[in-house]
Amino acid sequence: MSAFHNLNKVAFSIAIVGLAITSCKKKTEEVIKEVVVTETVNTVIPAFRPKIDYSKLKAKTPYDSLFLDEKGVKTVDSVEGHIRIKMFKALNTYIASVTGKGVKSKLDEAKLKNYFYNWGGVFANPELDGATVNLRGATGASRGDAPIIRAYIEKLFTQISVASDSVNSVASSNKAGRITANNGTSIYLLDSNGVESGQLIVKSLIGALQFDYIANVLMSDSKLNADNHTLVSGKNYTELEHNWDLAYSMLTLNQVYAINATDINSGGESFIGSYTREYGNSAYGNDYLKIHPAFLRGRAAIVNNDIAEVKAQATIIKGIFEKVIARASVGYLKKWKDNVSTDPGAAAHAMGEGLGFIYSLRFCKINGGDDAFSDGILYDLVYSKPNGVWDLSSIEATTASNKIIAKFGL
Amino acid sequence: MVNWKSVGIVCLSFILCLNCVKKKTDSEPDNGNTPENIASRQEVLTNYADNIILPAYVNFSLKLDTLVAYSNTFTSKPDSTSLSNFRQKWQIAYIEWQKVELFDVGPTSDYGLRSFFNAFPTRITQTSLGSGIEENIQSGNANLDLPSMAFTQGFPALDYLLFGLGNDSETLTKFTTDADASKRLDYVKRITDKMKSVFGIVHSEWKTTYRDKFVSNSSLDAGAPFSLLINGILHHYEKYLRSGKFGDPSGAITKITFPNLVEAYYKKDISLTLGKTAHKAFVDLFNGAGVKTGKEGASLKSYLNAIGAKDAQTGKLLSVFITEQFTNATNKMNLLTENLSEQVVSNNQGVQDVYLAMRAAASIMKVDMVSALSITITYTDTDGD
Repeated sequence: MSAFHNLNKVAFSIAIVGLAITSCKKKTEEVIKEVVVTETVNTVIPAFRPKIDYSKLKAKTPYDSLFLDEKGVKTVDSVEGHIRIKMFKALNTYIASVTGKGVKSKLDEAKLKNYFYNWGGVFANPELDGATVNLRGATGASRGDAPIIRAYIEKLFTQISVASDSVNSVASSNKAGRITANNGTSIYLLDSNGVESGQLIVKSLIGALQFDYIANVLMSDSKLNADNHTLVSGKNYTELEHNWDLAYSMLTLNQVYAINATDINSGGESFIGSYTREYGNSAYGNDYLKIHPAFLRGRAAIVNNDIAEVKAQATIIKGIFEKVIARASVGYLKKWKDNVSTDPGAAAHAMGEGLGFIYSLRFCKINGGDDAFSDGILYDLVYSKPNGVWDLSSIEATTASNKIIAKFGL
Repeated sequence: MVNWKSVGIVCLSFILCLNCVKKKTDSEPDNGNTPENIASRQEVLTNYADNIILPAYVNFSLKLDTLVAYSNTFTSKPDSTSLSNFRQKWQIAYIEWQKVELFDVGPTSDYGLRSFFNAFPTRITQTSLGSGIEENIQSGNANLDLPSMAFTQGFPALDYLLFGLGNDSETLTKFTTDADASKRLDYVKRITDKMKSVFGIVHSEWKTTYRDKFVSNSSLDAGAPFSLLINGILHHYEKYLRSGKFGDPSGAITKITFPNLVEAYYKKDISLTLGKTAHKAFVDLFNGAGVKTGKEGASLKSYLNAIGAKDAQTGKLLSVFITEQFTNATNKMNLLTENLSEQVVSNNQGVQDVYLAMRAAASIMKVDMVSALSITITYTDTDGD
């Protein structure tokens, strides 16, 4: 059994059904259980750890460096979050391989599922294959109808697998195939609606997996009210500390988020971490520079048992990510419009990304994102039309974009 | 009952909050957001809207109306006179179009105006991207609102239909006695009607609502007019002027010459004029030169001068340095002859030199100018993962 899972605290964090029967061959999905934890705010509980002076927190303080136990050992455990990022990257790499350099090969639906479920040693990496977590368990995990979200992702696996049968023919209206950008080197696989399913999957998972898990599960009120006075059995951190650390480690593989990023380069950050730089750079008030300080401050506030401050930082983080997802939705629709009459390949790629972010808007709850809003826009852009995106006009894309701008106050 | 702990938390949060706000303002550079800069950007936007964009749209709408009128004359009575007049008005309107294509902000961008007017090379027959002009003539019902149909309409499609069907008498035959003559006439009419209707909508939105929005918001936000305008003109300069008109046909990047990629490929002897006109329109916008008067007003140039933007290496004023690149590009264009389709073969280096001069200008504008203006280029597709 892997070291980073704590069975005693499962009831208060993540209940893993069937963990005991986990084998190399097949893992049962995780089920996230909403547990009502009643925080007794009025009870005075002695400080669990020495307070951390907020002035110690600098812009580039490594996340795991300041939060130590009484023996000076780090209390930050990034393993589980990092495993999920690495699994997501592996899935992304496999999907991209369909039009990879010199290779045009079918995508196997069963293999796509293996990445999602962590089945069959698909990662060829013991750290990931042997892990007790998978991508699927964290997908749509904040929602009572998580199975619907997961089934949607799996339906996209089926679709991309079917589309990939046509990867050696050229895409056209109502016909799946590949499309090449004007640069001659970027090749994308489109389904019969003109949608690059690969981008749709990955960008949908940025919302459904990464953002939803960080913002709506780990930073939900119930998770932020978790026990902060006793150590998780066998660990040197409290449950609340670990919830926050799980969130940070689902964002970035670095201990200083965006340490290598610049205004124009994401510096190796991936998924929402990458887009937070791109759609949160100096053109957007340098939002990406506010993420690491907010995580640090929130974590210090947990040490100080200052739950109001923890929640304030969570709100900052969630708010920025929501704006980023909305800006990316709008930004890619603009890129589609910019390119659609001159570089249809580049335009199709932009649309695929945009549609995934639009799907992800449903998880942006601070701004009132929901299924009806996301699905309505996807319907207008793609599914209301006989030939999908091939039938979309610029002004229709603008109309969709304006709806997002209005809802998210962009 | 007072819960002192809660009060304490509230107070502490409040103090921390204040602290956050203070830090935020401390760490955000105020370049670009001084009251003076905000006011001068508003002057630039106002000059651009009232003395350049709107008058240029009025000029173009007059030329477009004339084109449509002569198109209607031709389609109702195709003969050598009406063909000759139609061709002439097409040329005049196409040149005038070059003076407005660079604006790609507000309703212009919303409707994707460029795609209805100047997507080239035009698509004659079906490809994977969609039907071509010939199939559209046959079907009679192609949806011209679709971006995939951009390459089958606008000036480039008319270029093919007016100059690409053979000599004068062969061309006329296609519109008179040919079996598909009436379908072909219908398609010409559909194209010019579409140009008129789309431009009408965009122009009207500019006049009625967008002009005021454009001049009243001089913020530097990525979604605000100043940034959108500059992103639009730079995208135009790089992609449609530099690469589209000179770089791609000459194979500046691909090293393969494509004589058929030039603008006005079928008319041939106006390609350079179109390029020069587009370039001059860009330079005039940079200088803030009014369309009616030629008089320079508040502009990117005056704004860069006011904030003292300099080229780091030479120490020259950035506006002077950029203008030198424009002059260089103009000089290089002056060495070419009209038929760029022929020039890319006989004088390939000459055409590539124009591309290179424009590349130098574009690079200074995209890096140094944009940075001096405190805005961000948003049109480059940098994939995040």
